[in-house]
Order: sequence, then C-alpha cells, then structure tokens
Amino acid sequence: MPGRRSKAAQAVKLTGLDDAKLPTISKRMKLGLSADEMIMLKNYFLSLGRDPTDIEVHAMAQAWSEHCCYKSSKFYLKKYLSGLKQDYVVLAMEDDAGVVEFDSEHVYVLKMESHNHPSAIEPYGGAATGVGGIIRDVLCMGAQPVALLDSLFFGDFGSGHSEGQLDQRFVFNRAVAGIRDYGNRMGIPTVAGSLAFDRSYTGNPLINAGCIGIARKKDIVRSRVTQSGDLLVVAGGKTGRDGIHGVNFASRSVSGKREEDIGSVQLGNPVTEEALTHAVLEATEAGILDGMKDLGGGGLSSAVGELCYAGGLSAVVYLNQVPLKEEDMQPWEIWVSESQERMLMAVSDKNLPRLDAILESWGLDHAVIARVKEGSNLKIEFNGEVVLDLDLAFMTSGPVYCRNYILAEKKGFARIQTKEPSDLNSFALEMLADFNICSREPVTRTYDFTVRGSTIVGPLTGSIDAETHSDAAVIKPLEDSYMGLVLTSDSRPIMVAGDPYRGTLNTLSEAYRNILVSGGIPHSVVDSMNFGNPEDPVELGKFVESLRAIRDFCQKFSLPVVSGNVSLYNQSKEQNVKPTPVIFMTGIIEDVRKAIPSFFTGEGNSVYLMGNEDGDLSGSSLLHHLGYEDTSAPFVDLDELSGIRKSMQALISHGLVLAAHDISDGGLLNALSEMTFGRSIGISVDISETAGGRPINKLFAEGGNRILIEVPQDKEKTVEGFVTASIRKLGTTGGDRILVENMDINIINIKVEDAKNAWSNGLAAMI
Amino acid sequence: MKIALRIEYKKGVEDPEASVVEKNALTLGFDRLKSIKIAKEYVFDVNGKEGKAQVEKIARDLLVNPVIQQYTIYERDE
Repeated sequence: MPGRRSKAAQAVKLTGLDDAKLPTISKRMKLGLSADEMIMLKNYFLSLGRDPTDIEVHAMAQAWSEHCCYKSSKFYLKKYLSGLKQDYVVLAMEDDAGVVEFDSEHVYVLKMESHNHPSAIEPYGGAATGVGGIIRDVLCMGAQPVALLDSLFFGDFGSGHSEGQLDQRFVFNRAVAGIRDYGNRMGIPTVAGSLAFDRSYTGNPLINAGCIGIARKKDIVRSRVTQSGDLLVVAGGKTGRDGIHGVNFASRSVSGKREEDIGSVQLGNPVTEEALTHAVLEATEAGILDGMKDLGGGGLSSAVGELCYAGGLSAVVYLNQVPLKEEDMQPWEIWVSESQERMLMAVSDKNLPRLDAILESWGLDHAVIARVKEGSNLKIEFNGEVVLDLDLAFMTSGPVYCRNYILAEKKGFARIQTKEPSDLNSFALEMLADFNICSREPVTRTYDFTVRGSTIVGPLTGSIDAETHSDAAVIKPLEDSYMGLVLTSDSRPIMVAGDPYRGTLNTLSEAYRNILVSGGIPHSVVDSMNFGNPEDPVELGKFVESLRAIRDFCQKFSLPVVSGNVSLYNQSKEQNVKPTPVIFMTGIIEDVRKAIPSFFTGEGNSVYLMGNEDGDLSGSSLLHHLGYEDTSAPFVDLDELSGIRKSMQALISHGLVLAAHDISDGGLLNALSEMTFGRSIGISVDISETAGGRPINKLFAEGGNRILIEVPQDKEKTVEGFVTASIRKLGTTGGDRILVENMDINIINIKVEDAKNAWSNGLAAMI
Repeated sequence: MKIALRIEYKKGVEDPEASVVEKNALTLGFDRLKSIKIAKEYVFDVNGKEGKAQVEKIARDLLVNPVIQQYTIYERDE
C-alpha cells in the first residue's frame, strides 16, 4: 500500500464488519480469498476476541491459497493417489520432494512443478525461477541435483494475440531462454522434456520444470523440525518486494492487464543458487541440519509454518533479523515475499557456528530468524512487538473443498472422416514439419545437456549432424557405478482434451514405453497436473478423470506416485487451457552401457512392430493439424502393455534389440522417420497387414501401446520366440529412402535427407 | 537532436549483475560503496519533436519490458 510506509503492523478491522463487506477487504489487500473463506477468518478472530493484524491476514491468505493448501484438489488427490506406494519408496507425497531407493546406499530425489502464472506475465523470469524453485525442492532434501526436465506448452503462433497479451513467439523464446540460462548457469544438465503448441495456451502458457537428484540414504534431510530449541536460519538471497502475492495470484486466472500483476514478478539469480547448492550439500554432509525447507510460494510464511507444523512444534520469529533488499519493508511484506534463492534450515545452538562458517565461505547472506519451541501458536516479533500470534494448525491446514464435478458426455465412437490427401508424400513432409511433431533441436540445443559429465543419452542422439530425438534421457548419477536413471516427461493434451481418462492412460503408456525402449525398467511416477478453473464442474471433472487414470495405471504396473503438483485456474479470457497432466516417469537401467538407441543402427536389419493398432485417429496430431478439435482418445489395453514390457525385457536381456522407438505423436510414419534420422539409414516397410483401413489411418494413428524394434536379420526366429505380445515384421533397414508399401502400391517414397530437412526446420520460423 | 533513452530495472527487481559487481567491489575494499544500479542507455539522433515522440514509441513497443523495467527519455548534448 504505497503512501503509508509505517513499519509497524496495522490492525485490520474485520470482526466488526458486515459479512457482505468482507470480499472488498480481500480484494483491496489482494488476498485472493473467497467470501466464505473471509467469513471463516472473521469467525476465528471473533473467537479470539480481537481484530487481526495485516500480517496475520496476509499469512492466512498465503496458507489458504490454492497453491499452498491444495484446497480444491486435496480431496481427490487423497481419494485416488494415496496408497500408491511400493516398498522401495522412502518418502512419497510427504516432504518437498519424493525420495526413492536407487541402490542399497543411495536414493534418488525428484519433483516436478509448474510455474505457469508467473511465466504468463514475465516469461523469462517466470520460467527461470521455475527451474530455480524445483532445484531447491530437490536440494532441500539433502540431494545433489543431477538433471532437469521441462514440459512446455505454448499458444498457437498463427492465431495472433489480443490487447494486453504477449506475443506467443516472444513468450516461447523468452521462456526457453529463462530455462536455458538458469540451468546452464547452475551447471545442471537439462536432459529431457516435451514441447507442445495449441491455441488454448495463448495467454496462459504452461511451464513445468522437473528435477532429479541423488543422495546417500543417511544424508536425507526432512522438511520438518523435531528438536524444540533449534534455531531457524534463512540463507541465500535477500528478501525483497519481488514476488509478493505470487501464490494468491496463482490461485486465480491471469487478468488481462499485465501491469496489475507486477508485484508477483521475480527474476532469478542462478549465481546465488549455485553457491547455495554447495553450501547446503556441505552442511548436509557434515550432518548438522535437523530440518530444511526451501522458500517458494508463500515465502517465509509457508516455509516456517510448514516446517514447524510437520514436526508438531511452533516457533518465535524475530522478523527484524531477516536480511532485506530494501530498507522500508513492512512486516507483512517480509513475511510473504517470494524472493528467490532462499533456504530455511533448522540447526542446534551447538552446530550454528559450523553452519555459519560454511555459509560465510560461500559468501551467502544468512541470519538466525527464529527459535523453535513447544506449543501450538506461531509468534512473530517485530521491533519488540508481537505482530502475529496464530494457531499453526488452523493456519496451515486450510479449507478443503469437495467441489462437485460432472463428467463431460462421451461423444461415442464417431470417427472423423478426413479427406485423403492427394499427394501422400508431400503431406508426409508437411506433417513432419508440424509444430507438435518436428525436431525440438532448436530448443534442446540451447540447453547444456552434458554438463556434469553424467549424461549418457541426452535429448538428441545419433551420429554428429544426423541426430534424432531420443525416447528418454539416461543419466549415470554415481561415479563408481554403471547403474543409471532413465528419465522422460510426457503429455498428450490433445488426447486428454478429447477424453481425460483415456488421454491420461495414453500419456502414461507413452512414458512407460519411452523408458522400456531405452532399456530401462519403469520405477516411479511424478505427476504435474495443469488444469483450468476448478469452480467449473466440467473442468474439475477432467481433473478427477485424469487422476483416476493415473491410479488405475499405477496400480496395474505397481508404480508408486512419489510427488506431484497441481496447478489450477489456468485460463485466460474465459477459455480454459486444454487439461494437461504431465507425467514425469523415472526408470532404472542396471548398466548404462546397455542403453538402447532410438535410431536404426545398420543396414539389412529387420524392423518389427510390437503391439496392436486399430487405426483410430482420435486425439492425433493429424486431426489437430487439420484443425479438428476435441475428438476423443484411443483405447489403451493395459494387459497388452504388460505383455510388451515382458517381451521387451526378454529381448533386451538377450541382446537382441539393436534399436527401439515408441509410436506416439505423428504415428507410425513419424516414428519410422525419426529412426532413420539418427544415422541416415533408410527403411522399406510393407503395411498391408496392419489394421486401420485407409493409408492415412495406418500411417498417422497414434493409439495403442506400439513399439518399433530393429533386430538382426539372422535372429528373426529367436526374436519371434521370445515375444508374447502381438508382433509383426514390417520391413528391412537400408538405402537412403523411406519407402512404404500398402497392398502392393507404393504410398510413401521420400529421401531420408528430405524428410530430415522438413522435420529439422519445423520450428525455424518461431525462433 | 540527440535523444537518450535510459532503461533500468524497477525498484525491487533482482539484478544479479549489479549484486555481483557490488560484492566484488566490497571484497576489493571499496568500503564507501553503498549500492550499485545498472542501466542501459540508447542515444538516438532524430529530427525535431516528432522524432522525440517516436523514441518514446520505440521504447514502449520494442525496448522496454514494462513489467520489470522503467525508462526515462531526455535530450543530450554532443
């Protein structure tokens, strides 16, 4: 509130107010609380017999925001995802990140989060701080971050932009630059991800960043403090006015005017975070930290509150001690600021000098800001005055909504009959250049994906100058072990929009197959759910259906869901974004030297198609390309996928798979083409026997659990003997062309070089 | 006429470059230093009042990100 620069906390006259006037307060103070929530707040202070201070009201608003307490999603998350745990999971959905056993001594730590709303306002800063935040989530568990992933969704470039909205090309380029700069400067490789374009993301891009780290089991630091008498130290960046009200803002839709949202913008400082990483790992190794939590959404308010509450304790906070960027900040501003690169650590008096010395040696600002104590109430002192005195349980738990949802009517099985293109060859090239299919090299090449020297397979793979997409990244996190992590992050928003349940199953199947074809065994799942307005029952219905799919899939394949994130209110101008569940799946590979490439490795080898197809074009890039909206999504047979997994593992363990690639975006033709790119080796196939009817259905359908494998020609009989799933020989590698025969007619005849050019230059117009 | 356009971060926006310079200067012992601010200045050679108005428009449409930056325009010698 400019103009009033009094440093003391102000009383907010709430208890004497008429209920009808409460929303005005919420609006004026930018609290983002609903009328009912304001009444709950008023009643609480009526029971205490006093009015709240401004800092108390702001603290409650932070804690009760959708972002911090998951009030609209908690009920359904619990219903569907609790209980999806395996015995090799150390921590699932409890602390800031999931912790899963890697080998007998080590664990891997992982999390994915969205940073959608900040990126809509300031794409560079928003995306960069999204990366910074996810790194701290992994770091605060005591783990060394080893790899980053990102799944990005942008508006349609062609559709232009309306007044007050940023140009989508600008948003795309700046967001990618933000991710690049933060990851590269931190020295953590960005190794995998996904990128999609659709009209619905115009004005509300989705930026999902994931991070995975490695730690010794005994070094894991919990996001809770259990020692009464401990000190809380804030370290890293200083606290400023940047990012005030970020979480309140993330809990509603982006308003048309960007300048109104200015208070929420943060720019990152990776140089500080790099030093912070070293300091935290040093302190972790020294074993002097009793608890740790990063400062993200809600700033000190949620970090201190949750750290203490999770350990059944409370604290007295000395707010004057917090290192500030600006002199004249009011107590509530300090308490809820979301300034970046800050970490909160719990330490005993005895160990404080050691922690101080470590933080000093890395040149980091730090200060003791609180003492942990027994009791139920959190107290904050400022200039010797108590400015906040609140019951932590009331403050941190927040309301839980069991909002009603409705399921959209099933559209039935109505296949859209597209026109058969007159020239399939030129249409094939057009599809290869489609934004949602073409090469991601212009983006991934800007990321340093080999820094740290542990990337075995990055996002691009193949011979130099002939690279293609890999299916999943392979990381070797430990120096003295060949065991590796296989990472993929996938989403199928077009399919999910058509049918949230089936679409999500398709997403999971793709992630699962990405790991299988890379030689890994799927091990854990992280979900990052990006949906529209939960107050709209139809939107909420999509969210619930998507969760149901995750549960069904993970139960079937005994996969744990170890951490996740929910971002709601992704909408602009009354249009919700396409429902976008992002699946970050991690697999284990026993020996990274046995990773399977995604490209044809030699001439004269046999190419097989594993898994059934039905030529269903619903939810395909082809229909999206031709301008059809929200069709449906293909059926996924989970039993079949189970058989494919067994077959793949049998083949791989006998060394029979030379290369493998899953069929997803762009269908069979795109998968075959991508396989030819990695070493510029052509392919000749006959698809007469495959189901699907017309050639475009056979070539471009994306459903099913299909995998293409390249095997040595003289091992055909052995291969067929091992496979229990449906398998069909399609053709042979060799030459410099992509040739497809159907019913004795040649339907595709393209030079690999031409296909590669079309595919490589798809994004060029956007960069 | 020479018109200068000076662009700087708004108050409260993180400026890593300035904080690195500040930290290093302090390390070198320049103890009277209180803070550093970094700005970028463009100098346009334009014709008359209309030219000045065009610089203003160039700033808003092309060079300034109003979410994090502010700018000032003034006439300059030389």
